[in-house]
Amino acid sequence: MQLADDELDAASAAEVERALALPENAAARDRLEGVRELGELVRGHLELRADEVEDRLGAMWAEVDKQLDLVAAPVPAARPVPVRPGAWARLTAWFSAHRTHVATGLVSAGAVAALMLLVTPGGKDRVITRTVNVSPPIPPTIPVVLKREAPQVESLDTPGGTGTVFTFEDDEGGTAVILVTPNDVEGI
Amino acid sequence: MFSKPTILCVALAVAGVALAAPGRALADDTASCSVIEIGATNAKDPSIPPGLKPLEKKLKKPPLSSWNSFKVMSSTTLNLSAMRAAPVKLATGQASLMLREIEKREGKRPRLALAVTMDDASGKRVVDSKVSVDAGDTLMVGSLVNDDGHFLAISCKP
Repeated sequence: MQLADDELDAASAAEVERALALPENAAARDRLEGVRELGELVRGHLELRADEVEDRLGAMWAEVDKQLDLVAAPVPAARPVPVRPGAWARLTAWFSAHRTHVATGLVSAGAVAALMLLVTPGGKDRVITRTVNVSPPIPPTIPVVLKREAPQVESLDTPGGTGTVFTFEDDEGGTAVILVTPNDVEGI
Repeated sequence: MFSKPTILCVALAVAGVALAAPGRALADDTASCSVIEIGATNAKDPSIPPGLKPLEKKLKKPPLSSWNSFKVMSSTTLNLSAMRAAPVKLATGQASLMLREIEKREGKRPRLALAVTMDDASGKRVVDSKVSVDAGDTLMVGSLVNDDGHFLAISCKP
C-alpha cells in the first residue's frame, strides 16, 4: 500500500519492486495494480468534484475580497470647511464662469464703437448743440412775514363826547387811537 | 348708489378738511393782554419814561404828538377768556376788556376781536367800542381831561 501511495523512499521502493518482480509474488503484483487503479479512480473523482466547487468557491472568494476591500478602505477625510473667497477671487471666478458673455459684450461694444467712429463725421471735433429749458433762478428765500391788517373799529359809543379814530402803521405794527373829546371841550 | 363705507369715508374726509381749514377760533381761546394807563401832558421838558419806550414812535404821531410828556399811571396784564369781560382797575377811573373771538387766518396774523369800555373817575362811561386788531398791534383808547390826555395802551396776543 505504501508503494502504491508513493510513501516509500527510493531504496525501499526499489527493494519492494524487486520482490514483486519475482514469479511467486504475482498475486501481490496484481493487488498493487488494483490499488493503483483504485487510487487513480479516487483521485479522478476528487478532481471532478473539486472542479465543480471551484466556481462556487471563486464567487465566495470574490465576495470575501470585496468585503476585505471595504474594510480596508481608508476613512474619508473630514469635510474641509469652505473658505469664502475674497472679492478679487470672486470677481475673477465670475469672469471665468462668464467669460463667454463678457467676451460677447466686449466684442459687441467694440463693434458698436468702431461703427460709430466710421459713421460719425468729424470724430471728436463734432459739437453737439442741444436746447434745454433752463428754469429761472430761484429767488432768495424771503423770511415769512405774516400779512398785517390795519386795526378796525367796528363800533364806537362815546356818551357825552365825540370820538375820533386814528389809525397808522409803523414798523412795529398797526395802531388805532380812539380819542374822545368831551362835548364841553374844544378839540385839539 | 354709494355704499355705506364710501359715504363714511367721504364724510370723514370732508370733516377732516373742514377742521383743518383756518377759520374762527373756538370758544375756549384765550389771549394775554397788556394794558398800560398813560397820562399825557405838555411840559417844559419832554419826557418818555423807560416803560413807554416801546411806544415812543406812536407817542410822537398825531394825535398823541399833541403832548410831549408822558407817564405810566398803571400797568397790568390780563389773561382773557373768550366772551368774559375782565375789569381793569385804573389809577383814574376803570375799564373793562373782553375777548370776543380770535380769527386765525392762513398767512396772516391772528386777528382779535375785542370789546373795550372805559369810565372816568366819576364812573361815567367814556368809551364803549368794539375793535378788531391783529395780534400784537396796539389799541389806544383815551379822552381829554382838561388839556391833558388819559389813555389806555392795549396790546393783545393769543
